[in-house]
Amino acid sequence: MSTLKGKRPVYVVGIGIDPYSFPTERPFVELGLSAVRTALADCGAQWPQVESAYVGTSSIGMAVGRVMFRHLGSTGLAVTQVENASASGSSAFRMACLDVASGVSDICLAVGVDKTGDGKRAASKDGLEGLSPTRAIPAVRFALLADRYCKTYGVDPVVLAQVAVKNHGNAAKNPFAQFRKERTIESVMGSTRIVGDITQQQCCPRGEGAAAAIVVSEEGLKRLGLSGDRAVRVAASVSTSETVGTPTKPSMIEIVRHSTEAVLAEAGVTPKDLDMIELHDAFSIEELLYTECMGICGEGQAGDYLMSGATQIGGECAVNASGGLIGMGHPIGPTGLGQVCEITRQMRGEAEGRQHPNTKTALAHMVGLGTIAVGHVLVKD
Amino acid sequence: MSEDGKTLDLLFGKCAACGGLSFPANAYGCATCGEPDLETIAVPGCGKLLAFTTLYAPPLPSIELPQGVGEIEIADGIVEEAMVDAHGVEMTPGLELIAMPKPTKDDPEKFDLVFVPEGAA
Repeated sequence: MSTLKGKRPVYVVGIGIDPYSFPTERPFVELGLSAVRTALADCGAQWPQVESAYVGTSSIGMAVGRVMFRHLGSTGLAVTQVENASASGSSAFRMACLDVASGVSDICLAVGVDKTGDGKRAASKDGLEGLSPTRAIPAVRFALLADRYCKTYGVDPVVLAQVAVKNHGNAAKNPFAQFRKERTIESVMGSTRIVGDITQQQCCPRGEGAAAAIVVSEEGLKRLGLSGDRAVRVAASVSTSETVGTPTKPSMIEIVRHSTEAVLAEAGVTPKDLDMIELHDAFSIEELLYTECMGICGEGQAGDYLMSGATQIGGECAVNASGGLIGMGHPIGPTGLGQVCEITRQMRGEAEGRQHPNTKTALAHMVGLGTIAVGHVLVKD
Repeated sequence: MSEDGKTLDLLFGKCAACGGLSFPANAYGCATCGEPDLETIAVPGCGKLLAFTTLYAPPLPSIELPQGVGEIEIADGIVEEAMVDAHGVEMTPGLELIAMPKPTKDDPEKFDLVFVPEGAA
């Protein structure tokens, strides 16, 4: 059995989500506590048993954790805030897993919580000028990749829209999703054109929400009196950052390729072993690009693979059964943890209405502003 | 502005250690090896189009939409995103482009950089 970084086994035992939504007046404390209390109840843990906590967030402000946790009781646990753009929640989860794997804690919480912020980035404050004011718009970079991909492989842009049809369809069955509406290909293609062939319904919405996971060691399982039946093992965790790309190998694709290769190798599995993937589909083209570079299908074949139904719930490898960022939503801080919640729920057989059968091995993968990648392999033993 | 008074030069930082180019010239170190000593060099602003798209939304305060945008190899191995005005030319990969100044939407005294097909410069 592979263990995280060759250290102690780590298990996800408690999960909780406060449903993603468009911006509301609800304070972030309410969102975060809702997810944490659900995760605690899910595994029967009491707050004082939690030894450390990592909080993934991007837009709320400094020291979010204690502002939430004081309402659970002042236990004095270690609290660390983690910001890594879209990969903030995934990074908080990784920190929690490493805490447990290394023996620092036996019971650790990772929670992502966010409200819609101004989206300001360090890259726009570095004192350097780019050539174009459009460089601050992520959709443009992905539309350029879409142009390149469709021209290289002769892919009809309607295939991009089919990604959104699938993911909106999955989200319609997910009670935690921001969008709960199935979309037709006509609806997706006919929605407002944003850039190139990418229309509004092929873009993730902005929003808010919270997601939490409690991870434990085998000692933690004993302390909580859990049999492990509903536990999901974290087989591998990898985090990488961008390297210099080349004209033929854009860094935004290579970072996904390399981080996936590394996390699968660490888990001792191959792409074909994956029953399910939750990945960063902020824009439809990403799902095609990433399923290819992750090795799920061959180069230039992601469109055919999608159209064959292989990535649907019940297919060979369900991709974004939750609805992904396009359908479930992308509140930033919680998103990566929402992926972990979805995979755990699926592995337990508790994803009512959207259950992917026999999910044993799955990948949760997030990208932060195209510069950070975080991947986890989860396994149901 | 380049010597012809029409097109633009691009300023790169040339690494004193490995000779690699970084963009823009005031980068804080070489993107390849990290050497902080970069010599500023001016290179005629041209490049090869790798990909092209058209931005329709969201509105940007400084530019009129729709606006063409390209992924352009502006020096060996250096790819940058930049605005492109097609001037009726089909935007095919490999097309050679030239950097030109273009008055901004709100202030004709200010200029954006835009790439145009070689023949339209």
